[in-house]
Amino acid sequence: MSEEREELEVYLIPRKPWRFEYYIFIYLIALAVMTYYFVNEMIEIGWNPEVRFLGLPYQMGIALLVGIIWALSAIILTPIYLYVISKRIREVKRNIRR
Amino acid sequence: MVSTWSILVVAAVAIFFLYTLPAAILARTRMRRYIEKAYHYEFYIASGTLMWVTTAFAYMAAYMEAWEFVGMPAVFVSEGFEWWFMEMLFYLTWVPLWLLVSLRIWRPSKIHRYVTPTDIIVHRAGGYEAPLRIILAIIIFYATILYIGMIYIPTAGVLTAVTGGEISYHTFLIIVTIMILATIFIGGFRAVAYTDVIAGATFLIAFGVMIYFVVVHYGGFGQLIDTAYNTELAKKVFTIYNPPQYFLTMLLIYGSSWLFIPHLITKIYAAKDYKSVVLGGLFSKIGFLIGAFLSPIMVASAFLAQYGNLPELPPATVVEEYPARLFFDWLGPSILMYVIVLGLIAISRTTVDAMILLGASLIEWDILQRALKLKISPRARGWITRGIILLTATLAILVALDPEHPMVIIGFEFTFPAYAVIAFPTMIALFIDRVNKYGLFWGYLTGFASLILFTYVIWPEAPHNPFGVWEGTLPSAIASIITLIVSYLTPPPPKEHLEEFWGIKKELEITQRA
Repeated sequence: MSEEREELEVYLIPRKPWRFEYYIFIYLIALAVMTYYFVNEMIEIGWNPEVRFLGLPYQMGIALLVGIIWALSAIILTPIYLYVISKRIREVKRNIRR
Repeated sequence: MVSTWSILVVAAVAIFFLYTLPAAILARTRMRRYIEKAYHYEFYIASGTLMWVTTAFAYMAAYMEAWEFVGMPAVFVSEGFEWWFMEMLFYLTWVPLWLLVSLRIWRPSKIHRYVTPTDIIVHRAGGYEAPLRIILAIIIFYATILYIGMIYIPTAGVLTAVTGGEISYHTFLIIVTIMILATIFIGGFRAVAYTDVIAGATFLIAFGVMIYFVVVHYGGFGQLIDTAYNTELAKKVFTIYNPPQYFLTMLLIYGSSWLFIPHLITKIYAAKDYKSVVLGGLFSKIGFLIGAFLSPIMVASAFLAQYGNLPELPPATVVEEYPARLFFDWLGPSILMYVIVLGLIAISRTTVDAMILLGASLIEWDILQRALKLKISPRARGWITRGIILLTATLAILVALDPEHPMVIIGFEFTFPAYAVIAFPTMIALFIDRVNKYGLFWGYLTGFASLILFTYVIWPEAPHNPFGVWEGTLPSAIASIITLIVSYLTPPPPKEHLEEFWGIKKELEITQRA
């Protein structure tokens, strides 16, 4: 039974991206624009303790922002994937049982 | 006369090995259930049976090595903030794209029981199997050997520094390698993955000790950063010298290429179910956040705060010694310092063992078994596997013995662009059905040829292009464009081949039953 369930799960991972996955590319474009902007700012500002971002010296503030975006993207995307895959597998299993 | 502390540091390697030994023995016991059915699938992939807790630590181990622990803080101080910042940018792309790509690698790997990263590539290509296997195996093997050597250097260098040079770099190189090989020989990939859990817990504790100590010492995160930022050395450290396009290509090209990094691919194959890929991915990212973000930023800042106003930095054989020196200056030979030493041993081991296995599998599986089709008896196969593993580890030691050799230095610049040249055409083929064997073959070939030409002949100075972009950008762009152009100019791959690759027939059966 367990092997059958595992096999079913393998084949229900869609080979083509889900619709929501295409939005990730919009997020990547936003990241690229953000990176370009902040790197230019860092080049211009250089070492300057007066300019601060998120309460820290500018470069360290930007680094903190990167860490926050990185953590948020992982925390938001993982439940979405789990929900979408589990929902699909549950529906198929339910229909097979009927 | 060797001090008691130095003897204790050497003993730490043995202690670490002993407390991970039960996990390796458990792996050997379980391995017996599977090894007769499919020797290589069990020895190199643990028969695709790893649960999410194990995969979380295994994925973490794929990216976190001595480089994160001591290399990143050292580079932050010696080369500048920007080099560490670029490494962080790479995770920004990698994190959201991880599940998109890893699940599409995992699905065919479970259906066809792949052993090496080359398996999925040649299967998707559907032709030119022998030449593709040989070319890819050699390139990945070469890059992997250099990479292992890169990890050995800070490991042995730092352990030597912790003993004040009393125990030599070469001695630690040999001791650490023996420990790693013992685990591999006990239980193959399964032993590596099980011990990764204990090793991962060890280095997360060590990171915790470092972070806690730094925060307490400076009275808070903000105070630490401000103290570090207002030193003389900080003026140089926080100046940006690379152009914005270098950062941008590190974000988009370098970051995406790590989705198909060979020693991670085998760990995706090893996941038991989709939850192991998804949850393992999430928890490994939390580990990265502690190990690759928080720990380096705090240790580097602490180093700047401590030594940033000195006329010059303390002398060091390798810059990776700096973080160890900082903590040794603060903690001296103490229990907390010993926890940090154990963490260093743990984090170094976790990446190297999986990479040694990967290197050996490329030679044994791809070249000997699949490309050259050698018939090896079940009795001889165990000895051949061990021999190739030993050879792989020895070649990596040769790299670490002479880190200043021009061939090694230029090889480092070659490693990650080479991985990118493999990654992009492969990922394109996973998502675009029109990509065929001609496109993939010529894509890889032109990618590698352009990489060699740009790196060694046309632009021998870094970043090996006149546009100020990351070193792997042009070769991987050429590989991707050629893959697409040749694929669209030649007949599409047979529909039956794609259906067989993705297991469409079975999928239709399941959905029709539903």
